Amino acid sequence: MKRLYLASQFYVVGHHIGALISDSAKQKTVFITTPIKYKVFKESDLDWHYKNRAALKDNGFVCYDYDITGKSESDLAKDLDKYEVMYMEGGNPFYLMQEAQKNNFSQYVADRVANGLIYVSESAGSVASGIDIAANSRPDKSLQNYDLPNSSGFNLVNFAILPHWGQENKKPDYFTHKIPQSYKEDFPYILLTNNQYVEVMGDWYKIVDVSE
Amino acid sequence: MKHLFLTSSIGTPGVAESIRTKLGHDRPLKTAFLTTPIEVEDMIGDSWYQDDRAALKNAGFDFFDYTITGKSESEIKHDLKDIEALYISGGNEFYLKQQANKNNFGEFVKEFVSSGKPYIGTSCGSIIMAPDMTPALNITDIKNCPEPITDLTGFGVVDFLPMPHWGSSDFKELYLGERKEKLYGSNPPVVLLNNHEYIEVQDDHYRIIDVRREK
Repeated sequence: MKRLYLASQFYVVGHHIGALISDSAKQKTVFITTPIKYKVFKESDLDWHYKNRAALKDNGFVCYDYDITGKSESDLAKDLDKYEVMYMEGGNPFYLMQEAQKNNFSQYVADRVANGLIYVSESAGSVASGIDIAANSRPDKSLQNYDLPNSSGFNLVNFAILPHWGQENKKPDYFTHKIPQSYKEDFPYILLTNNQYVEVMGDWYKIVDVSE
Repeated sequence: MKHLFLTSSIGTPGVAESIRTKLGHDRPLKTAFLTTPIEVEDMIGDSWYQDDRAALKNAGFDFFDYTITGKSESEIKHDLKDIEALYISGGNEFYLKQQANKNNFGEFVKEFVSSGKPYIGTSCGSIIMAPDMTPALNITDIKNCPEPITDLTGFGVVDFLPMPHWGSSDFKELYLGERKEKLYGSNPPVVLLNNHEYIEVQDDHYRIIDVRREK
Protein backbone atom coordinates (compact mmCIF):
# COMPACT_ATOMS: atom_id res chain seq x y z
CA MET A 1 0.00 0.00 0.00
CA LYS A 2 1.17 3.50 -0.86
CA ARG A 3 2.45 5.38 2.21
CA LEU A 4 3.58 8.99 2.21
CA TYR A 5 4.18 11.63 4.87
CA LEU A 6 4.24 15.05 3.28
CA ALA A 7 5.43 17.85 5.54
CA SER A 8 5.82 21.56 5.15
CA GLN A 9 8.73 21.82 7.62
CA PHE A 10 10.00 18.37 8.54
CA TYR A 11 11.81 19.22 11.75
CA VAL A 12 8.56 20.53 13.28
CA VAL A 13 6.59 17.32 12.63
CA GLY A 14 9.38 14.72 12.43
CA HIS A 15 8.65 13.27 15.87
CA HIS A 16 5.12 12.40 14.74
CA ILE A 17 6.19 10.87 11.45
CA GLY A 18 9.09 8.99 13.02
CA ALA A 19 6.71 7.27 15.42
CA LEU A 20 4.61 5.94 12.51
CA ILE A 21 7.40 4.12 10.67
CA SER A 22 9.07 0.91 11.85
CA ASP A 23 12.66 1.02 13.08
CA SER A 24 13.75 -1.53 10.52
CA ALA A 25 12.42 0.61 7.66
CA LYS A 26 13.90 3.81 9.10
CA GLN A 27 17.32 2.21 9.18
CA LYS A 28 17.19 2.02 5.40
CA THR A 29 16.47 5.64 4.53
CA VAL A 30 17.86 7.42 1.51
CA PHE A 31 18.08 11.20 1.86
CA ILE A 32 17.68 12.76 -1.58
CA THR A 33 19.75 15.92 -1.57
CA THR A 34 18.95 17.02 -5.12
CA PRO A 35 16.33 19.70 -4.27
CA ILE A 36 18.95 21.62 -2.31
CA LYS A 37 21.62 21.44 -5.03
CA TYR A 38 20.12 24.10 -7.28
CA LYS A 39 22.50 26.70 -5.92
CA VAL A 40 25.36 27.06 -3.49
CA PHE A 41 23.92 28.07 -0.15
CA LYS A 42 25.70 30.14 2.46
CA GLU A 43 26.11 28.01 5.58
CA SER A 44 24.06 30.56 7.50
CA ASP A 45 21.08 29.92 5.18
CA LEU A 46 21.02 26.20 5.88
CA ASP A 47 19.75 26.23 9.43
CA TRP A 48 16.49 24.54 8.37
CA HIS A 49 18.39 21.82 6.50
CA TYR A 50 20.54 20.94 9.52
CA LYS A 51 17.48 20.93 11.73
CA ASN A 52 15.84 18.45 9.35
CA ARG A 53 18.91 16.21 9.48
CA ALA A 54 18.93 16.39 13.28
CA ALA A 55 15.20 15.61 13.45
CA LEU A 56 15.64 12.60 11.18
CA LYS A 57 18.48 11.29 13.33
CA ASP A 58 16.70 11.98 16.63
CA ASN A 59 13.66 10.07 15.43
CA GLY A 60 15.47 6.95 14.35
CA PHE A 61 16.08 7.49 10.65
CA VAL A 62 19.49 6.25 9.50
CA CYS A 63 20.08 8.24 6.34
CA TYR A 64 22.34 7.78 3.34
CA ASP A 65 22.70 10.83 1.11
CA TYR A 66 22.02 10.55 -2.59
CA ASP A 67 21.92 13.06 -5.43
CA ILE A 68 20.06 11.87 -8.53
CA THR A 69 21.86 14.35 -10.80
CA GLY A 70 24.14 12.67 -13.31
CA LYS A 71 22.83 9.17 -12.56
CA SER A 72 21.52 6.86 -15.23
CA GLU A 73 18.25 4.99 -14.98
CA SER A 74 20.10 1.78 -14.21
CA ASP A 75 22.20 3.56 -11.56
CA LEU A 76 18.97 4.56 -9.81
CA ALA A 77 17.76 0.98 -9.56
CA LYS A 78 21.19 -0.30 -8.54
CA ASP A 79 21.72 2.40 -5.90
CA LEU A 80 18.22 2.86 -4.50
CA ASP A 81 16.43 -0.48 -4.62
CA LYS A 82 17.76 -1.43 -1.18
CA TYR A 83 16.10 1.47 0.66
CA GLU A 84 12.71 1.26 2.34
CA VAL A 85 12.23 4.97 3.09
CA MET A 86 12.95 7.90 0.80
CA TYR A 87 13.31 11.33 2.38
CA MET A 88 12.99 14.15 -0.16
CA GLU A 89 14.46 17.37 1.17
CA GLY A 90 13.11 20.87 0.64
CA GLY A 91 14.74 23.26 -1.81
CA ASN A 92 13.63 23.81 -5.36
CA PRO A 93 10.92 21.63 -6.92
CA PHE A 94 11.59 22.92 -10.43
CA TYR A 95 15.26 21.94 -10.29
CA LEU A 96 14.31 18.56 -8.78
CA MET A 97 11.80 17.83 -11.56
CA GLN A 98 14.30 18.93 -14.20
CA GLU A 99 16.88 16.48 -12.89
CA ALA A 100 14.24 13.77 -12.37
CA GLN A 101 13.19 13.90 -16.01
CA LYS A 102 16.73 13.37 -17.31
CA ASN A 103 17.01 9.85 -15.91
CA ASN A 104 13.37 8.85 -15.50
CA PHE A 105 13.59 9.19 -11.72
CA SER A 106 9.93 10.32 -11.82
CA GLN A 107 8.89 6.90 -13.03
CA TYR A 108 11.30 5.15 -10.65
CA VAL A 109 9.87 6.89 -7.60
CA ALA A 110 6.26 6.37 -8.75
CA ASP A 111 6.85 2.64 -9.24
CA ARG A 112 8.67 2.25 -5.92
CA VAL A 113 6.03 4.17 -3.95
CA ALA A 114 3.27 2.09 -5.58
CA ASN A 115 5.15 -0.97 -4.31
CA GLY A 116 5.61 0.16 -0.73
CA LEU A 117 8.59 2.53 -0.55
CA ILE A 118 7.67 5.05 2.16
CA TYR A 119 8.02 8.61 0.86
CA VAL A 120 8.76 11.29 3.46
CA SER A 121 9.29 14.88 2.46
CA GLU A 122 9.19 18.54 3.24
CA SER A 123 8.45 21.67 1.26
CA ALA A 124 9.82 21.20 -2.29
CA GLY A 125 9.85 17.44 -1.74
CA SER A 126 6.15 17.57 -0.84
CA VAL A 127 5.35 19.91 -3.73
CA ALA A 128 7.11 17.51 -6.14
CA SER A 129 5.06 14.56 -4.87
CA GLY A 130 1.91 16.22 -6.15
CA ILE A 131 -0.02 16.48 -9.34
CA ASP A 132 1.54 19.78 -10.43
CA ILE A 133 4.21 22.19 -9.20
CA ALA A 134 3.30 25.41 -11.04
CA ALA A 135 1.34 26.91 -8.13
CA ASN A 136 4.62 27.23 -6.25
CA SER A 137 6.28 29.38 -8.92
CA ARG A 138 7.76 32.75 -8.25
CA PRO A 139 9.76 34.92 -10.63
CA ASP A 140 13.15 33.29 -10.00
CA LYS A 141 11.82 29.75 -9.44
CA SER A 142 9.46 28.76 -12.23
CA LEU A 143 9.05 26.61 -15.30
CA GLN A 144 10.74 29.28 -17.42
CA ASN A 145 13.95 29.06 -15.42
CA TYR A 146 14.39 25.32 -15.94
CA ASP A 147 14.47 22.82 -18.75
CA LEU A 148 11.08 21.27 -18.20
CA PRO A 149 8.44 20.23 -20.76
CA ASN A 150 5.58 20.75 -18.32
CA SER A 151 4.81 21.45 -14.67
CA SER A 152 3.82 17.91 -13.63
CA GLY A 153 5.00 16.60 -10.29
CA PHE A 154 5.66 12.94 -9.52
CA ASN A 155 1.88 12.41 -9.36
CA LEU A 156 2.19 10.29 -6.23
CA VAL A 157 -0.91 12.09 -4.95
CA ASN A 158 -3.72 13.84 -6.81
CA PHE A 159 -3.48 17.23 -5.10
CA ALA A 160 -1.04 20.14 -4.96
CA ILE A 161 0.50 21.30 -1.69
CA LEU A 162 1.17 24.93 -0.87
CA PRO A 163 3.73 24.65 1.98
CA HIS A 164 4.71 27.12 4.71
CA TRP A 165 1.16 28.47 4.65
CA GLY A 166 0.72 31.22 7.26
CA GLN A 167 4.48 31.80 7.67
CA GLU A 168 4.98 35.55 7.92
CA ASN A 169 8.09 35.80 5.75
CA LYS A 170 6.40 33.82 2.95
CA LYS A 171 3.37 36.11 2.88
CA PRO A 172 4.63 38.49 0.15
CA ASP A 173 5.35 35.51 -2.13
CA TYR A 174 1.91 34.08 -1.49
CA PHE A 175 -0.03 37.30 -1.84
CA THR A 176 1.84 38.55 -4.90
CA HIS A 177 2.40 35.32 -6.79
CA LYS A 178 1.23 32.01 -5.44
CA ILE A 179 -2.40 32.76 -4.53
CA PRO A 180 -3.27 34.73 -7.68
CA GLN A 181 -1.53 32.29 -10.02
CA SER A 182 -3.15 29.22 -8.46
CA TYR A 183 -6.66 30.68 -8.52
CA LYS A 184 -7.78 28.20 -11.18
CA GLU A 185 -10.17 25.30 -11.44
CA ASP A 186 -7.34 22.92 -12.17
CA PHE A 187 -6.32 20.90 -9.09
CA PRO A 188 -7.26 20.47 -5.44
CA TYR A 189 -4.94 22.56 -3.27
CA ILE A 190 -3.96 21.78 0.31
CA LEU A 191 -2.69 24.73 2.32
CA LEU A 192 -0.11 23.26 4.68
CA THR A 193 1.29 25.12 7.68
CA ASN A 194 4.60 24.20 9.27
CA ASN A 195 2.75 22.38 12.07
CA GLN A 196 0.96 20.08 9.65
CA TYR A 197 1.71 17.12 7.43
CA VAL A 198 -0.37 14.97 5.10
CA GLU A 199 -0.50 11.25 5.86
CA VAL A 200 -1.30 9.22 2.74
CA MET A 201 -2.39 5.57 3.03
CA GLY A 202 -3.25 4.11 -0.35
CA ASP A 203 -5.77 6.42 -1.99
CA TRP A 204 -6.79 8.00 1.33
CA TYR A 205 -5.22 10.79 3.31
CA LYS A 206 -5.59 13.10 6.24
CA ILE A 207 -3.91 16.28 7.35
CA VAL A 208 -2.40 16.03 10.81
CA ASP A 209 -1.71 19.12 12.90
CA VAL A 210 0.93 18.40 15.56
CA SER A 211 0.10 21.54 17.54
CA GLU A 212 -3.32 20.15 18.53
CA MET B 1 -18.27 4.22 9.59
CA LYS B 2 -18.43 7.94 8.87
CA HIS B 3 -19.23 8.58 5.23
CA LEU B 4 -19.39 12.17 4.04
CA PHE B 5 -19.32 13.87 0.69
CA LEU B 6 -18.28 17.49 0.90
CA THR B 7 -18.83 19.22 -2.40
CA SER B 8 -18.26 22.68 -3.71
CA SER B 9 -21.19 22.45 -6.12
CA ILE B 10 -23.37 19.33 -6.31
CA GLY B 11 -25.02 20.76 -9.42
CA THR B 12 -21.81 20.68 -11.45
CA PRO B 13 -22.23 17.92 -14.05
CA GLY B 14 -20.85 14.63 -12.82
CA VAL B 15 -20.60 15.41 -9.11
CA ALA B 16 -23.91 13.99 -7.86
CA GLU B 17 -23.60 10.95 -10.15
CA SER B 18 -20.09 10.28 -8.90
CA ILE B 19 -21.19 10.44 -5.28
CA ARG B 20 -24.06 8.10 -6.02
CA THR B 21 -21.69 5.46 -7.42
CA LYS B 22 -19.70 5.56 -4.14
CA LEU B 23 -22.76 4.38 -2.22
CA GLY B 24 -22.73 0.97 -3.86
CA HIS B 25 -26.40 0.71 -4.88
CA ASP B 26 -28.89 2.62 -6.97
CA ARG B 27 -32.17 2.35 -5.08
CA PRO B 28 -33.76 5.73 -4.23
CA LEU B 29 -32.55 7.14 -0.92
CA LYS B 30 -34.93 8.99 1.33
CA THR B 31 -33.09 12.26 1.88
CA ALA B 32 -33.73 15.41 3.88
CA PHE B 33 -32.74 18.52 1.91
CA LEU B 34 -31.90 21.14 4.49
CA THR B 35 -33.08 24.49 3.18
CA THR B 36 -32.20 26.49 6.31
CA PRO B 37 -28.96 28.01 4.88
CA ILE B 38 -30.85 29.67 2.05
CA GLU B 39 -33.68 31.17 4.14
CA VAL B 40 -31.91 34.48 4.55
CA GLU B 41 -30.40 34.54 1.07
CA ASP B 42 -32.35 35.76 -1.93
CA MET B 43 -31.17 32.85 -4.04
CA ILE B 44 -34.00 30.36 -4.45
CA GLY B 45 -34.48 31.37 -8.08
CA ASP B 46 -30.75 31.20 -8.81
CA SER B 47 -29.69 28.67 -11.40
CA TRP B 48 -27.11 27.06 -9.08
CA TYR B 49 -29.82 26.22 -6.53
CA GLN B 50 -32.11 24.74 -9.15
CA ASP B 51 -29.19 22.84 -10.71
CA ASP B 52 -28.27 21.40 -7.30
CA ARG B 53 -31.81 20.17 -6.73
CA ALA B 54 -32.10 18.65 -10.21
CA ALA B 55 -28.72 16.92 -9.88
CA LEU B 56 -29.62 15.36 -6.54
CA LYS B 57 -32.98 14.19 -7.83
CA ASN B 58 -31.50 12.71 -11.00
CA ALA B 59 -28.90 10.84 -8.95
CA GLY B 60 -31.65 9.08 -6.98
CA PHE B 61 -31.74 11.15 -3.82
CA ASP B 62 -35.46 11.12 -3.12
CA PHE B 63 -35.54 14.31 -1.09
CA PHE B 64 -38.01 16.43 0.79
CA ASP B 65 -37.31 20.01 1.90
CA TYR B 66 -36.77 20.59 5.58
CA THR B 67 -35.78 23.49 7.78
CA ILE B 68 -34.61 23.39 11.38
CA THR B 69 -35.66 26.99 11.97
CA GLY B 70 -38.14 27.18 14.81
CA LYS B 71 -38.00 23.43 15.48
CA SER B 72 -37.22 21.87 18.84
CA GLU B 73 -34.61 19.16 19.28
CA SER B 74 -37.29 16.50 19.70
CA GLU B 75 -39.21 17.70 16.65
CA ILE B 76 -36.07 17.40 14.52
CA LYS B 77 -35.39 13.89 15.81
CA HIS B 78 -38.96 12.90 15.10
CA ASP B 79 -39.15 14.50 11.67
CA LEU B 80 -35.85 13.07 10.44
CA LYS B 81 -35.97 9.65 12.09
CA ASP B 82 -36.50 7.73 8.85
CA ILE B 83 -34.08 9.50 6.53
CA GLU B 84 -31.35 7.52 4.81
CA ALA B 85 -29.24 10.50 3.75
CA LEU B 86 -28.87 14.11 4.87
CA TYR B 87 -28.09 16.96 2.48
CA ILE B 88 -27.25 20.49 3.57
CA SER B 89 -27.59 23.08 0.87
CA GLY B 90 -25.46 26.05 -0.03
CA GLY B 91 -26.32 29.37 1.57
CA ASN B 92 -25.31 31.07 4.80
CA GLU B 93 -23.37 28.80 7.18
CA PHE B 94 -23.36 31.37 9.98
CA TYR B 95 -27.15 31.68 9.91
CA LEU B 96 -27.40 27.89 9.87
CA LYS B 97 -25.15 27.72 12.95
CA GLN B 98 -27.30 30.28 14.74
CA GLN B 99 -30.39 28.19 14.14
CA ALA B 100 -28.57 24.97 15.04
CA ASN B 101 -27.46 26.46 18.36
CA LYS B 102 -31.11 26.84 19.34
CA ASN B 103 -32.04 23.17 18.95
CA ASN B 104 -28.77 21.26 19.22
CA PHE B 105 -28.87 20.35 15.52
CA GLY B 106 -25.06 20.03 15.45
CA GLU B 107 -25.32 17.05 17.80
CA PHE B 108 -28.04 15.55 15.61
CA VAL B 109 -25.70 15.80 12.61
CA LYS B 110 -22.82 14.21 14.55
CA GLU B 111 -25.00 11.31 15.63
CA PHE B 112 -26.41 10.92 12.13
CA VAL B 113 -22.90 10.78 10.65
CA SER B 114 -21.72 8.35 13.37
CA SER B 115 -24.54 5.99 12.43
CA GLY B 116 -22.84 5.51 9.05
CA LYS B 117 -25.59 7.04 6.93
CA PRO B 118 -24.32 9.28 4.14
CA TYR B 119 -24.03 13.02 4.61
CA ILE B 120 -23.76 15.29 1.59
CA GLY B 121 -22.96 18.97 1.76
CA THR B 122 -22.60 21.71 -0.79
CA SER B 123 -20.64 24.89 -0.14
CA CYS B 124 -22.18 26.04 3.17
CA GLY B 125 -23.10 22.41 3.84
CA SER B 126 -19.41 21.48 3.51
CA ILE B 127 -17.99 24.44 5.44
CA ILE B 128 -20.33 23.84 8.40
CA MET B 129 -18.69 20.44 9.06
CA ALA B 130 -15.34 22.13 9.90
CA PRO B 131 -14.23 22.90 13.45
CA ASP B 132 -13.81 26.59 12.62
CA MET B 133 -15.37 28.65 9.81
CA THR B 134 -13.65 31.99 10.42
CA PRO B 135 -12.06 32.34 6.96
CA ALA B 136 -15.46 31.87 5.31
CA LEU B 137 -17.05 34.90 6.97
CA ASN B 138 -17.74 37.78 4.61
CA ILE B 139 -19.72 40.97 4.53
CA THR B 140 -22.75 39.38 2.82
CA ASP B 141 -23.06 36.75 5.57
CA ILE B 142 -23.04 39.49 8.18
CA LYS B 143 -25.55 41.62 6.28
CA ASN B 144 -27.96 38.74 5.72
CA CYS B 145 -27.94 37.33 9.25
CA PRO B 146 -30.83 38.78 11.27
CA GLU B 147 -28.83 38.32 14.48
CA PRO B 148 -25.22 39.42 15.07
CA ILE B 149 -22.71 36.68 14.24
CA THR B 150 -20.84 35.69 17.39
CA ASP B 151 -20.20 32.00 16.78
CA LEU B 152 -17.65 31.17 14.09
CA THR B 153 -17.34 27.48 14.91
CA GLY B 154 -18.77 24.74 12.72
CA PHE B 155 -20.15 21.35 13.75
CA GLY B 156 -16.62 19.92 13.97
CA VAL B 157 -17.49 16.65 12.25
CA VAL B 158 -14.22 16.81 10.28
CA ASP B 159 -10.93 18.35 11.40
CA PHE B 160 -10.23 20.46 8.32
CA LEU B 161 -11.92 23.35 6.55
CA PRO B 162 -13.15 22.74 2.99
CA MET B 163 -13.23 26.06 1.12
CA PRO B 164 -15.48 25.79 -1.95
CA HIS B 165 -15.62 27.49 -5.36
CA TRP B 166 -11.85 27.97 -5.62
CA GLY B 167 -10.97 29.17 -9.12
CA SER B 168 -14.52 30.23 -9.94
CA SER B 169 -14.88 33.68 -11.53
CA ASP B 170 -17.85 34.44 -9.25
CA PHE B 171 -15.66 34.18 -6.14
CA LYS B 172 -12.42 35.62 -7.47
CA GLU B 173 -12.82 39.04 -5.94
CA LEU B 174 -13.64 37.53 -2.55
CA TYR B 175 -10.77 35.03 -2.52
CA LEU B 176 -8.15 37.40 -3.85
CA GLY B 177 -9.45 40.16 -1.61
CA GLU B 178 -10.46 39.89 2.05
CA ARG B 179 -10.60 36.10 2.20
CA LYS B 180 -6.91 35.46 1.49
CA GLU B 181 -5.90 37.36 4.61
CA LYS B 182 -8.27 35.26 6.75
CA LEU B 183 -7.15 32.03 5.13
CA TYR B 184 -3.49 32.86 5.69
CA GLY B 185 -4.09 32.88 9.43
CA SER B 186 -6.36 29.84 9.44
CA ASN B 187 -6.00 27.34 12.22
CA PRO B 188 -7.56 24.15 10.88
CA PRO B 189 -5.97 22.74 7.73
CA VAL B 190 -7.59 24.11 4.59
CA VAL B 191 -8.53 22.26 1.41
CA LEU B 192 -9.33 24.52 -1.54
CA LEU B 193 -11.98 22.83 -3.67
CA ASN B 194 -13.12 23.83 -7.12
CA ASN B 195 -16.63 23.15 -8.42
CA HIS B 196 -15.60 19.90 -10.13
CA GLU B 197 -14.19 18.37 -6.97
CA TYR B 198 -15.53 16.88 -3.77
CA ILE B 199 -14.04 15.32 -0.67
CA GLU B 200 -15.12 11.81 0.24
CA VAL B 201 -14.56 11.20 3.96
CA GLN B 202 -14.45 7.70 5.40
CA ASP B 203 -13.91 7.78 9.13
CA ASP B 204 -10.72 9.79 9.73
CA HIS B 205 -9.32 9.69 6.23
CA TYR B 206 -10.47 11.33 3.05
CA ARG B 207 -9.72 11.73 -0.61
CA ILE B 208 -10.43 14.42 -3.14
CA ILE B 209 -12.24 13.36 -6.29
CA ASP B 210 -12.15 15.48 -9.45
CA VAL B 211 -15.06 14.20 -11.52
CA ARG B 212 -13.34 15.33 -14.72
CA ARG B 213 -10.53 12.89 -14.04
CA GLU B 214 -12.62 9.90 -12.98
CA LYS B 215 -12.58 7.05 -15.42
